[in-house]
Amino acid sequence: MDDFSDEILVEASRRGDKKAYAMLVKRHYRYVFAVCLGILGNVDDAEDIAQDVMLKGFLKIGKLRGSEQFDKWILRVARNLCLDLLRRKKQARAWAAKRASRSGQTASQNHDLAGAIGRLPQEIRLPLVMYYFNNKSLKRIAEKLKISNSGVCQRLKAARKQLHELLTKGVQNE
Amino acid sequence: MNSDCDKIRDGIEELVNGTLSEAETNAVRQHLRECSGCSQYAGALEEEEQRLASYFALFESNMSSMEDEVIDALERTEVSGREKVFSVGRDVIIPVVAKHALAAAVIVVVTVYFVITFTWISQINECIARSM
Repeated sequence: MDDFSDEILVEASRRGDKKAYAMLVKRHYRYVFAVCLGILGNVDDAEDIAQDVMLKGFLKIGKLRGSEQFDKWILRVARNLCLDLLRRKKQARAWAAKRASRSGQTASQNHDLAGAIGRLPQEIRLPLVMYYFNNKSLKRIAEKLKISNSGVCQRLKAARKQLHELLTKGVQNE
Repeated sequence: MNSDCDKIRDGIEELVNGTLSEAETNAVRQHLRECSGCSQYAGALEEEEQRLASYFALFESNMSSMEDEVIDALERTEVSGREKVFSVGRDVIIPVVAKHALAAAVIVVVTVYFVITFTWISQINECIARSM
């Protein structure tokens, strides 16, 4: 089944063939996870959402138009679920910040690499994460994120610069 | 740090990303031999690149087990039995039937509330009218 195209596997998955969909999971999960990690900046959330994305993909595969578009479609599902989570978290953060300011708490500093990656703006974090999950191929990142090669290059540069600042100067208290 | 350093630092970031042309790489390397500040910056970025590569390599080594977790969850998923509500991670996927049932329940509760309230107000008005 390894040799089958995405198109064939999608058609089989539409008929409820879990083995076929498992092959699609093996092929595309890493990119879905990379997008989730890039958008969310948090490993636990990225794992949870990436799993949800793949399962939702199976349940909703009937809605996919054009079986050959599975890779783009599943990344779009990933992006939407991540943005939903970010919206929910933003509301929760606003509520938590109100409580923290009332009790005089301050946000804790996080100097480690994972924390610094998490603090990068989403638009530059996503290409940085994708860079390491796509064998450092700018062309593949550009295709997956639908931006130009030079756009990827600029964002990677900005990510390196900001990450360096976060790691050397420390994270400012919010 | 001289006036060239800003430009060179842009080049250093590209050098670490592996996107610099050969001619530009030579120019940056030449500058690094002469400028200790930029040389230090390049060293730091290269060290960070190695840390990043090691950090993301950890995910690569776990990727297979993460995929297997998804496939296990997939096995537990019912294809035709979408009446079931199941939860994976923090996200809950609710089938259409459940959403419709919830909407119907809300409508019934609201209607009953209004009927009871209306009846109650009518009875009070009746009592007031009788006492007058």
